[in-house]
Amino acid sequence: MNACLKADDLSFWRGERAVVSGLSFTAAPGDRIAVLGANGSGKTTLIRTILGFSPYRGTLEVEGREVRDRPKEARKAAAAVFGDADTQLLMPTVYDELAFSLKAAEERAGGPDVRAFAGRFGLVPLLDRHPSQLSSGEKRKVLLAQSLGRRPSILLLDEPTSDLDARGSRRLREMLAQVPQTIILATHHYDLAMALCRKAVVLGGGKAAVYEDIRRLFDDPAALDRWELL
Amino acid sequence: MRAALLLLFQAAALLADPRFLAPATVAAAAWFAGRKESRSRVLLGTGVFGMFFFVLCLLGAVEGFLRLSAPDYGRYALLTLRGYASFLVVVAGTAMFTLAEILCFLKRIRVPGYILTMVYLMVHDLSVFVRLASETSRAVRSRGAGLRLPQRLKLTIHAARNFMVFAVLKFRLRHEHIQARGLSLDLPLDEWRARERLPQSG
Repeated sequence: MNACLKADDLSFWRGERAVVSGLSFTAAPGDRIAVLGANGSGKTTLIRTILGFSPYRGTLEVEGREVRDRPKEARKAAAAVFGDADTQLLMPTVYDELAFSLKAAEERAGGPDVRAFAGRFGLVPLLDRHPSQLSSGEKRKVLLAQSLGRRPSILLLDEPTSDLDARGSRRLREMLAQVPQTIILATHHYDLAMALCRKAVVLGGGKAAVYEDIRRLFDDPAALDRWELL
Repeated sequence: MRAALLLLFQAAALLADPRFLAPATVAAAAWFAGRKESRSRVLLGTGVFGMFFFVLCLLGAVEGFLRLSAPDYGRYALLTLRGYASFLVVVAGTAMFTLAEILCFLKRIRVPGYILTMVYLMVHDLSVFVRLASETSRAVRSRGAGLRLPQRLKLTIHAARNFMVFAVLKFRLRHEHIQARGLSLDLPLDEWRARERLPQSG
């Protein structure tokens, strides 16, 4: 099966400091990969790099195309949800947010389609609201919905549960479990990573490791300690 | 001494002959753009004033083409130049004085504590605005990838509007924070300035 995301001997920077060197992994369609690591280990920078916003060395391909050569293609194929929802919800109402994404994916942005799409995420009661009037959990849901509305092949999630309560986290997890796209999930919430992902990429101290089975990582106290995960 | 120099620069920006002011301004802008600490500010200011200048030139060209009685665009262009030179004086001021020194000066000329506190908070908020602006720009580029120009423009306009709303909200929140703690935070400015004057030890 063709990889929709492939990194080979990847190194990337934050400012002038090398964050990670020698990262290699592949993600097949539908794969869910957790990106784990302590604060400042490079999880967010990896997501930015996949979107072509940060420089890198080595190979990084999204759907077979090198990101540095075709950054716009990478952004078209991969939709990202970053931590700060306020900088990503741009339209005057939730309806407009979803309609814009659906239109971008060349679906008809008429009333019924947007409503039907919003219904899949339980967002119909919020359609007329301004994004700034929403709770943190509602903003997350809208962000996720608008990202999926673009029909990306890869969904990049950066701390999607960071400001959610327990119920909100559970609902988001259930929602993500239904998503057919490849998911790259950067998180500190290990229960979410364990529940959703089979594979893990661990970053720390400028190095990286890939665990084909995420349970092997969490069953190894020495590894958890070495990567400063616990 | 530094204040006198700054006043001299400002007087020159407002009064000097444009034949001398223009090359001096270009040289100053190039010098500040070459310094890492002031580069982003100078580029931002150059963009804003450059836009003014471009619009003036465009209006002048249109009026000329239509043979209308054109206003004195030369005068407006000169005002833009003086405005840009004054902006560079402010940039020079931020390089020559620390924030504590500027606030101490404002305090000495009896600027109200509320304004001092607001200036202090907003200067510190600038870095937050810069971070949010770059995150917003990434969101626009990410969502706009592969779209046609009108859609990308629509996204950019909404993002700019959202950012303005956010800036106003931030200002209002700061106003409320200050009010909640009395009319001013009573910043320990003298202490800060004294600390800045201490020799730095390793």
